[in-house]
Order: sequence, then C-alpha cells, then structure tokens
Amino acid sequence: MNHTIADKLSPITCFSINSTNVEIQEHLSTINQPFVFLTKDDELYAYIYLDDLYRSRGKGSELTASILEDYVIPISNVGEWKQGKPISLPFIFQVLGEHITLIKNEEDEFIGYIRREDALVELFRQDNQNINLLKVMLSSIPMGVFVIDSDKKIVNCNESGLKMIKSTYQQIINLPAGETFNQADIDKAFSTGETLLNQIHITDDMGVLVDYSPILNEKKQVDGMIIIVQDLPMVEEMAMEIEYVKDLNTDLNAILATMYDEILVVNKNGELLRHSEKFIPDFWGVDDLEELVGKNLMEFEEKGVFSPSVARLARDKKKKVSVVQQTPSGKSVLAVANPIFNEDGEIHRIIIASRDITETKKLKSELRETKRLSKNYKEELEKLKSKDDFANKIIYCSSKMEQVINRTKKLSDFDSTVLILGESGVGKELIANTIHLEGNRSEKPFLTINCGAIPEDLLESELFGYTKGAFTGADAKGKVGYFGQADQGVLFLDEISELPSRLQVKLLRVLQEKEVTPVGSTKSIPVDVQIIAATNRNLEKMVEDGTFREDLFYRINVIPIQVPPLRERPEDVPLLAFNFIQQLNEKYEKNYHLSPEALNLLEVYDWPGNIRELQNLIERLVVTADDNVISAEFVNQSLRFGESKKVKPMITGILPLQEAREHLEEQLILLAMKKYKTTTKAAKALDISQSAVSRKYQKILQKQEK
Amino acid sequence: MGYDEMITSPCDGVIEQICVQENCRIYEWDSLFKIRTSDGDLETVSLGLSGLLRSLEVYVGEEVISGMVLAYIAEDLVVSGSD
Repeated sequence: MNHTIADKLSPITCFSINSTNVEIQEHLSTINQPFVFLTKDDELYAYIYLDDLYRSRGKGSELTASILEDYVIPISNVGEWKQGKPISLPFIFQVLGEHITLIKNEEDEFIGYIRREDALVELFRQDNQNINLLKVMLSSIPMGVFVIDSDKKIVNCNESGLKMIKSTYQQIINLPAGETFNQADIDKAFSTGETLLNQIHITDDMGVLVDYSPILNEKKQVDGMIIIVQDLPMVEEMAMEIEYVKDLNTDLNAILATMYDEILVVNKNGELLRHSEKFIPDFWGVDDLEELVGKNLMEFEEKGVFSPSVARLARDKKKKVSVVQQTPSGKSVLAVANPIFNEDGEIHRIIIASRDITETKKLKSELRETKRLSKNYKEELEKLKSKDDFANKIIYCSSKMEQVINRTKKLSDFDSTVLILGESGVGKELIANTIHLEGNRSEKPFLTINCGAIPEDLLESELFGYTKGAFTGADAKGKVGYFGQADQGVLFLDEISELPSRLQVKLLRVLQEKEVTPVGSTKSIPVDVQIIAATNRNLEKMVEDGTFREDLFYRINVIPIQVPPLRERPEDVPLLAFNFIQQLNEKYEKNYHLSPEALNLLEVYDWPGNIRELQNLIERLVVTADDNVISAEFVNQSLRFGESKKVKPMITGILPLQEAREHLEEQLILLAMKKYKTTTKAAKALDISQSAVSRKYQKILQKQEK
Repeated sequence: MGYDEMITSPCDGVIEQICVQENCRIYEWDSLFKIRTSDGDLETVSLGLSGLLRSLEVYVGEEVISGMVLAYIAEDLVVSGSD
C-alpha cells in the first residue's frame, strides 16, 4: 500500500442497524470519526456522514434506527480502491461523487477508507495519463470547449475546439476570449448571467456555432464562462437543406405559376392558408393575396365579389369541382377545386387552381368567327373554281366527241405518248389538259410549248435547256428546259409538225432514251415526262414528203386521238353556243340568249375556225347585240352566209396545195349538203355533177367515220 | 388543364342524363347533357363544336349550378361537320 494513502486511511467503525436505540446512542457517542458504517446481517452495507446528521438533528439528540435510515448512504455507490489495480476515468468520477473511497487490501478485504479530498490529491499526485482528468474529460467531448475565467481570458480548451477554430493551445491560451469569439456575446453573457445559444460565428478562418454558458458562483455571480463550439459544416448542411427546401419552394411556385394563374390552399372552412406568388389581378379586389390569409374565401361569394365559390362547392360535394367564375367587372376565371381528405375521410384542405380565361374566351369567340368567315370564303372560292372548271370543260353531246373523250379518259391512266390530231380550234389543248388532269400525273406540272411559235434556236434551248455560258445572251446560270421543268409531269408539244428537223432528232432521242442533253452540255439528264403532241397538219403526208421524220412520227403516234372538227358534229354547236353565251352573261351580268332560228343557223354553218371561231362569234354577237334575244337575222349578218359564196376563200397560212384543195373541196361539199340537204341541190349550187357530189360526200363521210 | 374547350352548365339543376362518354368523339349536332332545372324543365346541353371528350366532370344525379364545368373537350381544329 502506498505510504500516503496509509497516512490518510481511517479505520472503518461500524455497528448493526438492528441495534437497540440505547446501543445506537452508545456507539455514536464513542465515535470520533466523521463517518460511521452500518452492517446488516454482518454485512457492511451503508455509511452515515455524521456532520450531515448532526447538522440537521443536532448533536446529542436522541437517534433511533429509523431516524438513521434517513441518512444512510449505501456503500454500493462508494468507490473501492484496490491497491495495484489501474485507475479508470469513471472511477475518478465515482470518487468525485462520494464523500469517501473505501480501500481494500490485496486480499480483497476492507482495510479502511479515505476522504474524497485525500483520494483526489492522491489521484492527481500519481503520474498517470488517465488522471489528467479535465483534459480527458474535455477531449472526450465531440464539441469544442473553452473555459474562460472572470477576466474573460481563455484558460483551458480541448483539442476539438482548437481544430474548429484552427488554432493551437499556445496561440490562444490566456488570450482574451473576445479576440477569438464574439466580444458582444461574451459581454452579454457576463452581464446577464444567461446562456446564449446557437450564435453563428463566421470569420475568414472559421465558421462555428457557439453557445456562451456563464459559470455562476454561489452568489449567482458570473465567475467565468464555458464556450461550447460546434463545427459549422454540420450547421451548413442543415442550412443547405433549408436552402434546398427554399429553392424547391421557389421552383414549385414557378412551376405552379406557369400552369395556373393562381393557386390557393384553404382549410375545410374555406379560410386561406397559402397562396401562389402569382395571382389574378382585379379578381379579389386586393393588391396582395397575403391580405387574404386567414380570411374565409366563401364570404367573397356572399359579398358578390364573384360567383360561385368553388371552395364551397368542393366542400359540399366532397369532390373535384370546376367552375367558371364571373366577376361583376366581366372577368371570367376557370377555377378547379380539389379537396384533400385526411385519414378519417374528412376534408383537410382544398386546393384551388384558377386560370384567367377572359382573354381566352374572347380569342376563342374571335377564332370561331374567323373560322366561320374562312369557311364562307372557302365555299366562295370553290364556287369560283368550279366556274373555272366549267370554262375549261369539254362540252359536247355528239357521239363522236364522246368516243374521243372516252378514249382520252382510258389512256390517261397510262404514261404513253399521245398524238392529238385535229383542225385548228377544235380544242386539242383542252384534250391534252384533260389527259393531264385525269391521269396520275395530275399533281405534277403540265407545260405547253408551241413548236411553231418559237424560232428554231430558241426552241432548242427552251425545250432542252442550256448550261451556263452556252451561248451569248444566255442566262449566266444556265437554264432548265421544258423537259426538265416538266419532269414527272406532262409536256404538251403543240404544232409538233413545225418542229425543225434537227430538233426532231433531238426529240426522238428524248423519247427513246428518256434523257435530255442541254445545249452546251455533253451530259445527259434523265427525265420522266409524258409527251402529248398535237398538230392540225397531216403528219403522214409530211412523212411521205420527207418534211417530218418517219421514226419520230411512229414514236409519237403511239396513241393518236383525232378530234373531229365542229362541222362534223353540228349537234354540239347549240350546246357550245349556249355555254359561251352563259359565260359572257355571267361575266357581264347580262341576259342574252339565242333565238331557236339563230341556233339553227349556227348549226348549218361550216365553222372552219371550229370552236374558237364559234366562241369569238358569240362574243361578237353579245357585244354588238341591241336586244337580249339574238335573232337569226343578226347572226346571219355576222356569219355572212350569202356573201361567203361570192367571197373567195382565204388561206392565211402556207400549206401544200393538194392539201388545201382537198380541204376546200371537203368544206364546200359539206357546206352545200348541210344547206341543201340533197345531192342534186348541192350539185347545182356547186356547179358540178350530182354523181360527183354524191361520190365525194360519201368519201368525206367515210373519212369522218374513221 | 390545357387550353381545352369546356362545356359549362347553362342553368342550375340536376344532371338527368349524360349522352356521351369520356374519350369519345362529339360532333356539333350532338346532345351532350340533359339537365332538369329547378323549374322542372329539361334543358339539353350541346356545343357547336366537334372534338374529343377528354373528361367528364359530373355524374348523373349531381346537382349543378350555372357556370359549373360539365366536361372538357379537345376541340378539332378543322370543321368536321357540314351545314
């Protein structure tokens, strides 16, 4: 046993608690120690601090066992110090907590006790790391602890604290605490004696959360201070979390604001709890919805601010309700109220999402009106378009024309090359147009070129195109020819007979190879074009004469369509005349019509200019007529039947003599037959024999039959 | 809630019949709802437009008031019907 402890060791004086009162008195009167021990059933079980006992009871007072029971302290609380055993920190606390420490010998027997102060002196005297009590205590705490004395200087601290303030013991010890921590907070805690909690202290070097806890002495005066420091990262984390929630709130508000003009949260009574930042102006009659928080929104309906209250409806119906609310100022707001139920199935909250639809409503009605108008315009356009169609329509009732049209319709399903034959003015282009419109290329271009109307050199570049710099005066960028432009579509070559022989070769190549070579280029470009050619000349004859290439003729004469001249189908004349007159009537808002006699007269006319002539004549009649009814006499004046006999026939273009002769003869015979009905009378008018008229007329009819 | 067209009740009353279903097409001439008004009259609700009925907001027997949304319709952009 340690020498010093032995010096301080006091013997254990004890008696049984079961002693009589007299015995107890005797025991106590003999004890000169401050502590007396009690046994029960021969076991040491408690001690009494006699100073305490005598202080409250008075020395010499009569003490019984039951009184003593109130002052006994069980020895189970008392630290037992056994020589040779290592001392732990909790043991030191045990020593601190009791008046005495029991000492045991190596045989585990109580040999006495020492008082607390003696035990502590002994413990601190021992050179033991563990015994650096305060240090161990302070370093065991995961927070920074700084001990400040009454001069507000730092007198002690722990490692955690030094880490947090990023300093060393030597640097801060004995320094005024105000240099490290907040002077104002320290002063405040010193002056008031109250603890200051959670003070955020941020400098360039550190960020900490500080508690200032004053140490009070017995007189309740501030004697010093404990400063508890917590690292801010933890606090930062919390702060960041709060920031995140705030952000989330902002985002949510922004999202809600884009979806709705206003969102309100009310409780089951209709009192406003929350609202979106955005709100519908001029609806509630307030400048800020914040003014309405806590107010019952249903009352606004009663006040007549708007109607109806969607919150009331949702509450009553216990389901989602959508309503168009109207304000006296004419505002329309679509409000959707969604009740939220608690676990008991009762309404907990009602969410009201509103949208100002005043503008939308206005725009919708405007849109509807615009739609109605555009529908009308569309109908008008359709009417006009169909009128146009009417103008382009092929009008006929003759079986000859019907055959032609049937053939046209049949072949429009194919891409075959078509040759339209017929006199000038019979409507060859119209037929070509019909083939295009009825066929599968109707969505693609339809281009027309009159081969007889363009000079040879120009025609070549027009048809096939040219590359840049092909010739002087050409477009610098080059040009896509008609074939190129009509790719996928239809190219109508009118007056194909007028195509110069050099170009006939080039056209033949296009038809055979399905590719064009622009002027000035050596490269061929593939093209997909349906060719429709037309002529009023006898191509077969031209081939015979060597003016039209035979190979080209056969190449274009794949599907020939012979359009009969008007004189061969007089039954179409009244229909066409009626149609033309109607077109003019509509155009000029007139009401002209032909007398039946006038129509008869038109029917017997020869119409060398065919439909074009008829159309022009009708226009002339309408323009010059004085009366709405156009009489036969008036028509006769324009046609000049009588004079026609005397006037010598006029040919305006050069054509082979034989062809002209045949043509003239044919016309004369037909005209005579139409007018006089019999061959005899016709023969007389023509001044040839009846048999000649009969023969020639039969021949003409046979030709027409073909 | 998009920019759909909505059908609102023209009167106060009780929904007596719903002639359409959700996600079905409606046309300009369709009768959509029949509402028994508080006066006892039967009011037929129809809308001069065609489209897809996106959602029904009421049920048969439900009390409605003027302005209450009965259904939302995604309106056709082109006129489907003819006069």
